[in-house]
Amino acid sequence: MIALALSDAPSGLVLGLLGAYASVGVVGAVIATRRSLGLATALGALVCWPLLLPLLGTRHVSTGGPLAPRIAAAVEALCTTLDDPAATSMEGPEDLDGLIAALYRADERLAMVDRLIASVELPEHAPSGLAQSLSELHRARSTTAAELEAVLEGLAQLRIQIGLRSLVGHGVPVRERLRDLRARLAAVDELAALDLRNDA
Amino acid sequence: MTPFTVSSLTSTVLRSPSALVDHPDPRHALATFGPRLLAIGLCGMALFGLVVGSYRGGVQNLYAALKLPLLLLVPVVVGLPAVRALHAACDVEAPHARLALAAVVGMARTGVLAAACGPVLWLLYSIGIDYHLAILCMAGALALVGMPGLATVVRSLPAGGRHRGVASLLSLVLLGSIGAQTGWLLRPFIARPRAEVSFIRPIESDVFSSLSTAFASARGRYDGWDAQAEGFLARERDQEAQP
Repeated sequence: MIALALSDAPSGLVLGLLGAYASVGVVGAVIATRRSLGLATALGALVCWPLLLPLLGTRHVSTGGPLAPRIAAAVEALCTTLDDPAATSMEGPEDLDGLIAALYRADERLAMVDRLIASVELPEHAPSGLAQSLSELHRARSTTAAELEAVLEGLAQLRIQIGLRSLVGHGVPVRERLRDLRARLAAVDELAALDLRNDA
Repeated sequence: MTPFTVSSLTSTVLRSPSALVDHPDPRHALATFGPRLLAIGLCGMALFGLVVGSYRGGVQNLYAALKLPLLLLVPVVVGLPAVRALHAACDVEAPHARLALAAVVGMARTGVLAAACGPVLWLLYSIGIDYHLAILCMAGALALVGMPGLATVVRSLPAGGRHRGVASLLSLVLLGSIGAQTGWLLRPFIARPRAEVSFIRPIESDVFSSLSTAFASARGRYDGWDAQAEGFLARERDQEAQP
């Protein structure tokens, strides 16, 4: 009956539009799968891709970490400042995208470690090696969390520098500051590793 | 607050949708809850469709259950970019992720309320009310359950801007028009008890010319747009049957 109904419709245009919609849906589903957004999101994108477009953009989407809301708030505030027509335009948005993605990735690693720590139960007479490993994991987690906090504070300072740059001019090194933050975040893993080596 | 189960998500959608819409990271919320909210909304409308189809019964139950979710989905999918553009033109910059999240929450809310309306409508249909009254009851129920969903979307828009009221009014008119035309294209939802059952009718004019004709008919003028007989290709069949 459906086929019969469609056969009576202006087939060329209707089928073309439906095909185009479905094709974009397939592309959306593939992107969602590649970004590890989950099967449900991929299926949703197949049918309702216009609603899920924000997830298929360039920015990294957090799957949930302890600092995710704070990261989102800091990023949103920074983007609002950057989008302000009165703010001096800043070059290198790819630096900002990279920083945001790195922040969320580090946050997801924290979430993974939190889940791991929560799942490990130390018996009363646990071997000292296990207890020590767990303690090292706790310390590495603290180091990473502290670095993330510092980068978030750096983002807040960056907003102020953007304001300063709009008033004072290009002497304020906003782009360099952004790169510093990204480099600092990239060094989080190395710092944690160094910390572990020193303890060992 | 982070509701994870479908039941707690449903409860949040009904009691405090703003807890979801005002999430500090709308993209994260959309990624986490979006698919489940969509499923809740579409399943709710499918249940409502089952009830609507029960007026005729048989395969119309299935047809209506398949079409009612589309009636919820199509206006949002087609109209949301225009709603955003209308508000942007009035200096109300609504982030896409937030608007999409609000739309999905609104759809879920409408779907849940529609499912909740189902038993009442079923009761009405089971006492054998008139066909036209059955249509009016369905339309009234849809309008009733659509309002809270629409309110969720409107409330999600940021404050400020110039002529914000005009943009909101135009958005309502736009979504309403798309919804009405979608309903027109997807009809019949309620088939006449003795009519031929069909999935969709052939495309005939549009909802506005139909309303205009109905208005003229109500004033005693029975000319203008001529509706085809009930059922798919029923007119041709009738013509063939005539000597």
